[in-house]
Amino acid sequence: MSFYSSVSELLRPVTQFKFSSLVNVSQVRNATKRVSGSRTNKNDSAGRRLGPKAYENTFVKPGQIIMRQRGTKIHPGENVGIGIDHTIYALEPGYVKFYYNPFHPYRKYVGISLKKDLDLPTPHFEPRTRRFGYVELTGLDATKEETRMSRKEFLATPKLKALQEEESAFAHKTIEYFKEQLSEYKDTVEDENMGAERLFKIYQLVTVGQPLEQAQIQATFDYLWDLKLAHNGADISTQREKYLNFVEKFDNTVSVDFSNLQDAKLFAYITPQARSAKKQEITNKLETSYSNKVLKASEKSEVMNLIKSPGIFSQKEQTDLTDTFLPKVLPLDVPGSIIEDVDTKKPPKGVVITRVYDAETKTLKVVGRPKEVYSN
Amino acid sequence: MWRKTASKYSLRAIHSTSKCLTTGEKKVWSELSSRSSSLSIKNAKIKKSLFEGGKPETIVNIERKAAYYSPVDIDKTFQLAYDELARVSGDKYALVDELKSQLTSETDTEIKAQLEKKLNKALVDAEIYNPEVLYNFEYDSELIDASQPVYRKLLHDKWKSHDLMVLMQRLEQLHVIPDTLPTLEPKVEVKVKFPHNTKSEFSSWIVPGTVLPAFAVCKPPTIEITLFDETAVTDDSNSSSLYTVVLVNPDEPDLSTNSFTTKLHYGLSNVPLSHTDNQIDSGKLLTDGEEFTFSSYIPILPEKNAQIQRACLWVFRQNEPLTIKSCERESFNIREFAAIHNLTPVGAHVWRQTFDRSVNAIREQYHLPRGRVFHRVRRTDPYMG
Repeated sequence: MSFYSSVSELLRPVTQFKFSSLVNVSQVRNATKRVSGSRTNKNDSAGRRLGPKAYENTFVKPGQIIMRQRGTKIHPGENVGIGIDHTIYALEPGYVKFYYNPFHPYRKYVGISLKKDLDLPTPHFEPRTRRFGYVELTGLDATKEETRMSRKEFLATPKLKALQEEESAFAHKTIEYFKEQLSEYKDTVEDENMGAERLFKIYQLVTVGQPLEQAQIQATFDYLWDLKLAHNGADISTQREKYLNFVEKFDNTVSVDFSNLQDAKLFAYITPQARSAKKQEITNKLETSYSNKVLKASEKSEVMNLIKSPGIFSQKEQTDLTDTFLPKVLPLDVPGSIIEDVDTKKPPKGVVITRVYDAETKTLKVVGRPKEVYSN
Repeated sequence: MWRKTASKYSLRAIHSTSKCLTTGEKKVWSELSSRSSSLSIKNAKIKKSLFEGGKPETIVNIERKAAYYSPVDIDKTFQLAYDELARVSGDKYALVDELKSQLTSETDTEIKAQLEKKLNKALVDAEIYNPEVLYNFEYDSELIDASQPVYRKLLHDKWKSHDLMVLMQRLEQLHVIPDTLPTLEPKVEVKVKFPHNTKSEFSSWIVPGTVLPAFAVCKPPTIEITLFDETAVTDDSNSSSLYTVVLVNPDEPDLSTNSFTTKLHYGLSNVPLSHTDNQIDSGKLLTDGEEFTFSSYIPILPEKNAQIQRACLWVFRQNEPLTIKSCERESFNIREFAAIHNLTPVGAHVWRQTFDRSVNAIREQYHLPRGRVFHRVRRTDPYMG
């Protein structure tokens, strides 16, 4: 606005007053408005000093603040963190980059690029640029740091050591036991130590659920792998051949019944065909002479021996057979397993009084059952 | 009992057929001369109880079997549904025969491929509601015959419903993609286990992302690669295609750049795999190991305070037989390797490792130098690459 126009505004009323009839009336304005401000106008505070604290391509150290803000005016991108008040700070040493992210097109981001000429965001399918950041120790510091334990490890050490000792003692005992049993097969098994160790390895692998054939292959593989490592790349073909021959002979001579792992027994090897034939034979025998009747104690032990004949049934098959032929309680429809006319107050010797459900009358009946009905 | 739990297919089947009535159908599912024996239940007792009703033979325990009562009219309903589904399956088998005859006369490869796809689908549809197949899939894992399209379909569905999702989550969250390869379109299921382990917690299949101690990985793993897609095989369902397997650690410390390099720990190539023969196990390594291996197995043995490291196992499908003489282990570039040899990544697996007390002994076994020791506090020295 020019000087003339501003002054003319002020001058115009004076010229008007010259011709007005109200020339001598002066206006009086009373104090109708309260003074001393108002309640609502006092809430101003000092500036919070918000805004970026580091700019594009500034080098920052970890922890350095990049942005102070209310809410996320700018979002945290690569290699930066965000605080409770949305302060953005560096997590890695590098160069500040402000950028847009194609996955969130309406957001501004800030991140740290580890190299000045690397732009952000990192292309989606490219590998990340990462900083290692740890310093190598040497000499005494290194040995000290290497042996240093966490509290958890330190507290667990005695327990772990005891466990290890227990394991090695068990291994030693079992290997000795196998060696003792192998002495029976002296004619065919030349190296008892090797044989016993092989059996122990197979025993361990079968314990964790591997089938016997697979465990045998694995034991061979492990032995040859260790042999290869021990010779550090030297030619081991002769030793390899020798061991493979030993294995073939050994596996066809002796086998272990791993179905009952508590007392694993050695027995002469049987071919799979002979084994399945034997399986069939035993099952038939059990079906014909030991099913659907009350078994005496001696008969029960015969059944148990048949089921546990070494090397015939797997552990699962054994439990299935035990469930079928030696159940905890015989079913009610087995002939001779219920004694109806019995003095419930004073049962004869060898009879157990029990209540059974009668489906016909839909009532509970008190009957006697021979003791042999129960497996224990 | 298992009829209830069998799978979504059987339930859907029974609902959809309750409206229909059967008329003199062909007994396709009981006929085994042209169908594989893996499509029927092996155990005669269980098969009998399935079709003749009564107490289910799947319950072995006598007491529990005695206490079990089937739902009212289940046997009648089952038979009705079974007959109808068998009739529909008969139609599908008719389509199969037609497609097969078309295939023999067809010469154009493109149309042939389409026909094969159709044939495969028809074979799946013909058996997908067969209760015997569903029983075998659910309870008798020995009878799952991957050469049968229906079992492959069931295996694929099971994999997609859980294991695949777990794998992809771990690959992304642990940044295996894109740190090793840009991305993965999973086509095969990759399972890994270390069978030398005698402790039960380390002897079974590894869940992707698990942290393993050094002693648990000190010998080569068994890798099972289940193929689902039909393009994997060329002629008949049992022919094999060639695969390359590579194990890398992208977290090997590189002090000169204050960053990481990728190290190659295991490399196999020209491994023939098919639907049925899908394992690279100790037996195979014992006989053909030398032939497959272009970089022998060295376990990942992290140094003290070098933080947790990822063992990334990649399975590639080859386009042709490869001749990889030997490979530099240090600074291995897996992207370049895949590009040079024209390999397509089809599957991956990941586990993790960190320094533990067994590392030093295994380093000695493998004649490796003693590992470096790093300060446990991370410094602020900038990246130097």
